Amino acid sequence: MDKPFSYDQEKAKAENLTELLFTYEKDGNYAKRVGYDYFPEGEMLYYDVWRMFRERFETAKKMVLNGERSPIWYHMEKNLIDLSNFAKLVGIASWRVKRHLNPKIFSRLNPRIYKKYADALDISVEEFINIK
Amino acid sequence: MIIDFKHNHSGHCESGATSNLIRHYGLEISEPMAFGIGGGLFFVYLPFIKAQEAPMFAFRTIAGKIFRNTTGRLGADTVMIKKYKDPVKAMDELDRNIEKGIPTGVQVGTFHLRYFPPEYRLHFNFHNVVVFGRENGVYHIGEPVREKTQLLLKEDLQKARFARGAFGPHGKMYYIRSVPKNPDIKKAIFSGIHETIKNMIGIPVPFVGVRGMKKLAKDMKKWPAKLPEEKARFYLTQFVRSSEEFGTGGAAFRYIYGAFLKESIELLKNDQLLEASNRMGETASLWRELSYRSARFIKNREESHDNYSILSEILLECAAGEERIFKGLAKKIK
Repeated sequence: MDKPFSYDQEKAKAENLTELLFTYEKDGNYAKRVGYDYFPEGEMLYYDVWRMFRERFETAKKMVLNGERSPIWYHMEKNLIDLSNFAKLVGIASWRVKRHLNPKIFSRLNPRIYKKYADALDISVEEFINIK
Repeated sequence: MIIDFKHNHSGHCESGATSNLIRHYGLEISEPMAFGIGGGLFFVYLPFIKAQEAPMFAFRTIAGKIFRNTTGRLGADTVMIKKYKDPVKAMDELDRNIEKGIPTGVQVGTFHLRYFPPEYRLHFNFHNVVVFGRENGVYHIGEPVREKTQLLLKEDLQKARFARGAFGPHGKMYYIRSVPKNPDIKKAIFSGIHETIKNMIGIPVPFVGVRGMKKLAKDMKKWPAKLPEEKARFYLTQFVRSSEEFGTGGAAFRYIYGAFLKESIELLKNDQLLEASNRMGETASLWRELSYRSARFIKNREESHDNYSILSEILLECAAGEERIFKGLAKKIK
C-alpha cells in the first residue's frame, strides 16, 4: 500500500506544516530543527504507524460495506476513538452506542439520533450514513 | 484588535504557549526553560486503563501543570479559569481580555482546529494555543506547533474550547497579569528539577517514573506470548504513537529536558548539571531509536518474537539511564 499522506518537505513548508524538534548533536549541544530531516533514510517515522491505522479503518470500511457493522464503527476507527470515549463525545450511553453498532438496529434509528452522531463528528448526516 | 504578540515556533504546545506568554511580558524564558521549571517530564504506564483498546502511556505531567508551576515558581501573577458553564460567557471574557491587550492561553480540542490537515484533527482535548487578536469574528491564534500564526472562525474556536469527549477543556483559559522583572531564577530551576526527581524516582508505585518504564519493559517481553499477534503489534503501535505523536512524544520531551539542563548551566554558571545534561541527550537518542525500531518492526511485519525482547532491552537501558541521571541530580542539588 502506498503512503497514506504523502509528505514532501517543500510542500509542507509552503503549507506551513513544518514542525520543530529538539535534537542532541554529536558535539554535545542541543539544537532545534524544523521538519523531519532528522530521521534516518529521510523517512518519516509516523508513516509506518499511520499505515497501521489506515489498514485498520480500511478493514472497518469493508466490514461496514459487507453489512457486518454499522457506519458508526467506521467513524470510530477513522477518528481513532474507542467506544466509551465516543459515547461521551456524542452524549449517548455507551451500551446504546454498542447496540447501534448492529446494522439492523442502526437502520431503524430515529433521524434525530443520526443527527446527534453527525453533529458530534462535525459532518453531515449524509456523510455519516453513506461512507465512501 | 490585534495585540502585538511575538509568536515563537515551539516543539510542544503547553510549554510553548507558556514561554510565549511569559516572553510577552518581557522576561526571556525559552521553551525548554518553561518545560523544565514547570517540571514537565514524566512517565506513566497504566496497563489497566485502556485507551483505544491498548494500555495508556503518558510521557508528561497532566495538562495545565506546566503553566501553573512555571509562572508560580517565577512569581508571576496569573489567572486561570478552569471551567465555564456558558460558552457565550467564555467567549465574551476572552474578547474582553483581547480588548484589554492581554494575550490569553486557551485549552482546546484539536478536532475543531480547521487549520490543521484532516489527518491531524483527532479528538484530542489537551491542546493549548494562545489567542492574541480578533477581527470581524476571526481570531488570530498563536499555534505553538506551527511556524506562523493561524486564523480561526469564532464558531470553530468556541466549539474547540467546548470540545466534548473525555477530559473536555470546558473553556479553560489562562493569562498573566504581571511578571516580576528579576525573579529568583536559580530557585525556580532547582524547585523544577526537584519536582521532576520526585516524579521520576521518588514515587513508590510500579507504574510511575523509572519504575513504570521497567514495568513496561517487563510486560512488553510477554506481549507476543500473552496476546494474539495482531493485538501485540497494535499495543506496540499505540506505544509508538504516544511516544512520537506530532513530534512531541517521549523522546522529544527528553531532548527538551536536556536542552533545559544545558541552558541552566549557562544561566547559573554552574557545572553541576553538565553530566546530567549530556546523559539526558544520550538517553533521548536511545528513546528515539526505540520508537524508530518499533515503527520499523510494525512496518515490516517481521514474524519474530525476539523483536519484543530487543525493544524491551532498549527500554530497560532508557530506564537505567534516567535512573542514573535523576539519582545523580538528587545528590547534587540539595
